[in-house]
Amino acid sequence: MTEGAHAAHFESLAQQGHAARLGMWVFLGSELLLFAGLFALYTSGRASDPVGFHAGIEHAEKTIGSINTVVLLVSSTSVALAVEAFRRGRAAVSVGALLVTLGLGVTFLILKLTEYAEHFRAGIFPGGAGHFFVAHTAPGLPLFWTLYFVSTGLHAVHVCVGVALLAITAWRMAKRRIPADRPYLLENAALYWHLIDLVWIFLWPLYYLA
Amino acid sequence: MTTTTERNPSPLGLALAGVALVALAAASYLLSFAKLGSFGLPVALAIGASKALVVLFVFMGFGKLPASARLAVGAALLMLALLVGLMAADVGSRERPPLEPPPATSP
Repeated sequence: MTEGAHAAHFESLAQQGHAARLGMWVFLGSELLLFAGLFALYTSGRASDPVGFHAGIEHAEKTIGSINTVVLLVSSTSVALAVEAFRRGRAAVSVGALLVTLGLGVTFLILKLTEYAEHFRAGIFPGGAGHFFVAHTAPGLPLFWTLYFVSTGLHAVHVCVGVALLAITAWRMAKRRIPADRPYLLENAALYWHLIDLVWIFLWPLYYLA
Repeated sequence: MTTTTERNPSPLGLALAGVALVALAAASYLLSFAKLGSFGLPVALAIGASKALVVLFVFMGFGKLPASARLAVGAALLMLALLVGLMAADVGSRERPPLEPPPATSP
């Protein structure tokens, strides 16, 4: 495909760009619905057993969770800067910003694993298993922790995918395989990363703060 | 993908948005130590919604999207609101069971 050319099934480059953008946003909508079920279950559990959910939040690793929040917010900023740098023709800066984002994503995962290790050490396992639940018997507490592991675990899987996507994008950009007039891979990878951040923005207060 | 007529945020604007996000997160963290009672969660979620709007409009360019893409996102958000809202209404409208009887004493 030459510079400026569009795929044969599109009438123009503008139409191709519109399709790439629309497709990605529809996908993001579907990803949002994936987490919607978990948010709905949280709502139900918290409404039924507020004492147990408050008890769960009391035992959350607030410091690690808050550091992870800042990590993701900064990473969202760096990936947005990567996109803007590429739009301004500064591919090297864009690659650098992508690598920063990638590093922050890996940092998030390491902190997440550290946090899970702390939970396991305290006897907190999904399904209400572990010695923690022998000493703490508030109704709703096992449900809180099960939802916590499923929600944050699913989110962590998305972070892993996002890290891989960013790595591929950075590599292709370094090899000059992302044309300036068709930066779909970069822009869509950035959108995916922002969705990861958006989901965590709401997971954090629900499982750590209030 | 983007036309020359679209005005994207400058790098400085993006960086300032990032600073605003971290500041909002700090506010949320500090407020979590205050005894807000039943207002704790609504306040935390309101700050979260503010951060989400910054990410959505400044970083993701939601405001510059064509109507078709905004419609797709709107539909997803509507489904999310219906799911969570109706779940809350369901649980909230259930009759509370009567008090549990005291444990049976030995005959």
